[in-house]
Amino acid sequence: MAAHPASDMKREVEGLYREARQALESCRTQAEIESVRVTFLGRKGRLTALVRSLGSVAPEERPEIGRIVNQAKEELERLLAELLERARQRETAARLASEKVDVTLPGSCTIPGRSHPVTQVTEEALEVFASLGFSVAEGPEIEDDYHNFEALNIPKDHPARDMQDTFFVSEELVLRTHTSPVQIRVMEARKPPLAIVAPGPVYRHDDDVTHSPMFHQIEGFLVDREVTFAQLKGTLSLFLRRMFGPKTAVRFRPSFFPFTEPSAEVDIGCVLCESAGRPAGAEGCRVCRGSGWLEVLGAGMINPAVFRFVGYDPRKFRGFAFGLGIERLAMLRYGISDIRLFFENDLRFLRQF
Amino acid sequence: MRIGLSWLKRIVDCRLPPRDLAYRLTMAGLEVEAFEEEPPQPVRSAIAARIDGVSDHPGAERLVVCQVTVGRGRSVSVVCGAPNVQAGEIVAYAPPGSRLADGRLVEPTRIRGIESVGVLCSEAELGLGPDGSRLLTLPRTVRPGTPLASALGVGGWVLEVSATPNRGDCLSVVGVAREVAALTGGKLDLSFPLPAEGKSRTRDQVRVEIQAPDLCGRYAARIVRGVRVGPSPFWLRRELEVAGIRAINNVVDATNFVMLERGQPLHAFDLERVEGAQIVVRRASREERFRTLDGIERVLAPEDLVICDRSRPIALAGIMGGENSEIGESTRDVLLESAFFVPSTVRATRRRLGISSESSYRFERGVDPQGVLAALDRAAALVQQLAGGDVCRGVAEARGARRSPPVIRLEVAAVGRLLGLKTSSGEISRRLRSLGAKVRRGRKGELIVTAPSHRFDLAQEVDLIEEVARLKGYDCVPAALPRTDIAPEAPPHARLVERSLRTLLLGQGLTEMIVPPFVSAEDNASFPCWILRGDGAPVRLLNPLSREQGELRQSLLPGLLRALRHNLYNGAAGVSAFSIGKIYWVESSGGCSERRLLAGVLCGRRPVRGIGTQGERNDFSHAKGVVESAIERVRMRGIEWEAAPVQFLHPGKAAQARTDSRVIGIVGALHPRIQEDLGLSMEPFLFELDLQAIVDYAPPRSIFQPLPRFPSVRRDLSLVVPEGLQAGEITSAIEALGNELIEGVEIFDQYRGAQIAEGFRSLTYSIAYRARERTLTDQEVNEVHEQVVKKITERFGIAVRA
Repeated sequence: MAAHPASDMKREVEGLYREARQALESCRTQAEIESVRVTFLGRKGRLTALVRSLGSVAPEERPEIGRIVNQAKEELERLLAELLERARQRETAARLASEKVDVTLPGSCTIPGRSHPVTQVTEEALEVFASLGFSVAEGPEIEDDYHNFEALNIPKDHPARDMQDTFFVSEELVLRTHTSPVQIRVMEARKPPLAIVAPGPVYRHDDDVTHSPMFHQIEGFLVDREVTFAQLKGTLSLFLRRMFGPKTAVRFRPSFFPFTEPSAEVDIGCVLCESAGRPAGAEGCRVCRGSGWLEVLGAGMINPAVFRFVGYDPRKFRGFAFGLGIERLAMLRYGISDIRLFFENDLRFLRQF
Repeated sequence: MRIGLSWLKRIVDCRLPPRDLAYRLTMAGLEVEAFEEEPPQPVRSAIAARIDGVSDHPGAERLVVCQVTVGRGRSVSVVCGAPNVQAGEIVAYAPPGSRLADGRLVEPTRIRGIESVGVLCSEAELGLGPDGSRLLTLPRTVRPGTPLASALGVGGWVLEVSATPNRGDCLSVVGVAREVAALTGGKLDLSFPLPAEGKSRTRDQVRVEIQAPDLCGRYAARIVRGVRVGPSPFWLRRELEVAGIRAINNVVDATNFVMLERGQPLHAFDLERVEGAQIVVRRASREERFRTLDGIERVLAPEDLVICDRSRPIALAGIMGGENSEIGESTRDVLLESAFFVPSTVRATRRRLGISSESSYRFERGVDPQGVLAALDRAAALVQQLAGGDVCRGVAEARGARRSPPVIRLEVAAVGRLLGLKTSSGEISRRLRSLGAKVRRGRKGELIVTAPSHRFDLAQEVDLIEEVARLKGYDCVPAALPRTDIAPEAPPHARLVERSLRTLLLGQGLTEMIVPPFVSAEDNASFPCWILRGDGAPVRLLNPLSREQGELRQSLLPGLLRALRHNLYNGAAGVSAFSIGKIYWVESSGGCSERRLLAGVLCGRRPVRGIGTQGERNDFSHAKGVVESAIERVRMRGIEWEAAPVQFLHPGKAAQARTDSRVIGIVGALHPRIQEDLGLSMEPFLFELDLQAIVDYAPPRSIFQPLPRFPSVRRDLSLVVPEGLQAGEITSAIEALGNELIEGVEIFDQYRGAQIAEGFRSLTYSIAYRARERTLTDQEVNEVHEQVVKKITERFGIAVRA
């Protein structure tokens, strides 16, 4: 192979360099710059080809030519990078200037539905009880007289039956008036210790602003050897403070349920006037009607008579039980005054929760 | 029960302010539902005064001159024209300077020459009632000078006490007073004036016999002869009115007053109409007829207890008297009844006959068998005071089965064990004694307690523990948490499935509704349960709220459609909702069954938001998509879809999803006839799933399939098919070829119109081919695909779209 004259080579490099530089300087876009780069510096580019032909230069001149070629290449690369960056900035600026959305327009989506407030409160309550070690059980809504009344120590000719207006399916079958029969069913089937909560709909022959023929309850009970009224107080106080806030005032006052003894009604400090125990502050309050307190649930120590019905030894076991009305809790929580709203299923109502 | 505080305070010494008293009672379990102050008595300056002497007015025949003590020994002279002026009466006096209800100012004056200072007032003059014909009189125990308002109890506090069903003993002023005494240590005063008895003995004039000793523990009677029946004085009418009892006449009012005061219901018979001067307490005979005081003829049964004279019933024991022996204006001689009837018999009869009275309310809850005679004496004295007459000596009485109050053993340590609060034997005894119980020491660590006769709710140890706790106050019991080693269980599978489906549907824009299960028979006839397929009659209620709510539903859809209608009526542009609830039916065995379903309704605008999405409406495909996603969510596989024969759905737009063995859900458009009947302007799409079946069949978890190591190849296939041929049939046919290289078949396009003949449509399927152990070559795939095309076109006689 004939030696390439070094001077030709040098001229050629300079020519290429100038040409490339001119080409680059006339570029406007990143794409144009890229095509110039490919033409001169790419794998099959002209400058690259020149570098490959260095082998034909006489060995003693190679370092000198090599230096010139590298210098040209480096300068071009530097220029290229610089122009590329400028072009990028220009292009980005142009894109940003041209693209603009009205960010106040709504996004597109399927509007998620809402679960019913009764479901929400039930789930929340069950979660609190789960954290206290209670498990969930369920029972039938059409109940027999024995489980709904008799075994709960509510005999046929007892005025306590008047506490619950009953829907009858037949002489012996009723729509359960409370979730307490689940207590009996679970105790019949299993041995203590037990800690159970039983949610579900219940039915009373009643229909006005504060009574609905259907509403929902959670029955809870715990049976073991060493169960106390103090534990009932602790459990329900904790539950109510989880539902209504850590500062909620809770009070227990004596009441009567045939299936518990002692029995208690549990009140919380009024959610509106917050004047629990200071009746003066509750004057004219429309929620607690001036008392400062709101009744939220009934509870008590399971009556030994109930244990005898299910075959537990009342000398060995004690237990507590409670029943709470979901709609009642929801009404207090959300400030709803008419229970019938829950079952009218007006979307304007349901979508608020 | 509503009672005036002043009445209560006459019986128990209580200095607590009314609000505190109400609080203490509530916190001891006798809930005070309301306490209110009545409006003040209109003539504020009026006081009680005693008429000491009455003399004729010298100048006017119809007037008298009264010497009146007005308190502090001061005496004045007042001219009066009322018919009931009588020395000894306590009356209302308005001193000079008072302004009467009609606006008249009272001034010292002379009437026909006689000085008259102040006015003795009628009800009308005091603004307390309409009666202007006679003086208002007060009980003779009222001291002259007492402000009228307090003498009458007008303008005082009224407590509304709600006694729980076990506390029949609190349905009286005395009963509440006993509680007050136990709580505050205030002294009880249960004394009352005894009747002035005459010589003739009651026993000689009436015979009492109990023929049903198991139902009547005691029956006592007294006789008052020569009464003058008339209206009661103001104070008595007033006390009854506060309690919500209508005043009738002085004799009947006296019995009601004693019932309110002592809790013992009484009855007054016109003695002349008690045939044979004989009282027989017996069971009614079958179909025996009897007209009660309210004028209704009752048909009795052998379990009813009746009070009879020689030949016929004259009262339904403890519930209501009869017309045949009612006290009237002409009544001269009165027989007063005070008795103890067994609570359950009173309750059974009054429930069966559908009557309820103040009397039955108390007997049902139990009256004090030991209080029978005291109440009778009290009533006799009051009748005598109000209506005059002679009270015969002693009582005529018979006794049935005696009940001795139970003796309860109370282990002292049990109190602390149950309450979680140590309580000393001394405190326990003290608390129980404050209720009137007898307490003595038994074996070591044990008390023997006899409950007072009015507390038959106290029967077992825990009852006494409750008494101790409530008197001490539940506030005293500390709060603790249970210390048990009960292992919490996982939530039931059904709840988990339900929860995951709920979450899914909410995400798809469906809102949850809860629908009561009450429907009409017509609803059940229109929406029969597709799960039961004709078996299972609807559950009918014996006492529905209305005819429209007479049965329990067999489908959730009527309720959802009602909610749909309500929302559309209120301007909703669309409704997408679901509900989870049970359906109910009667088994052939006669028992009832229930099953949980999940149903939904989709109608009108879809719940989507965004520019350009306004027009999206629910249709069959959306509804089916919702159901498919639900089925996918619970990992059920191998579900087949087919046209559904469901009567309430549009026959051309109804589908059912089935497993090998059963239908698990339906989806479709509401039948146009029903849509029209409901007046719905938009077509609703409905679905209903057998949640129970889904819970039973859905696998609890997925099983991992290794990721494919070799790529799949897709081939599309467009077919021209006649309208009668369903897309799913072709899909199934392709799958049924069983070629192991076919991984899946999907239909992704449907086309009607240009290039496709009338009566046909084009369906495009995409078939995925994959081999597990190698990469398929194009040639291999082409060969298989061609075979598929050939077999399918031949099988259905259809063509590939050109």
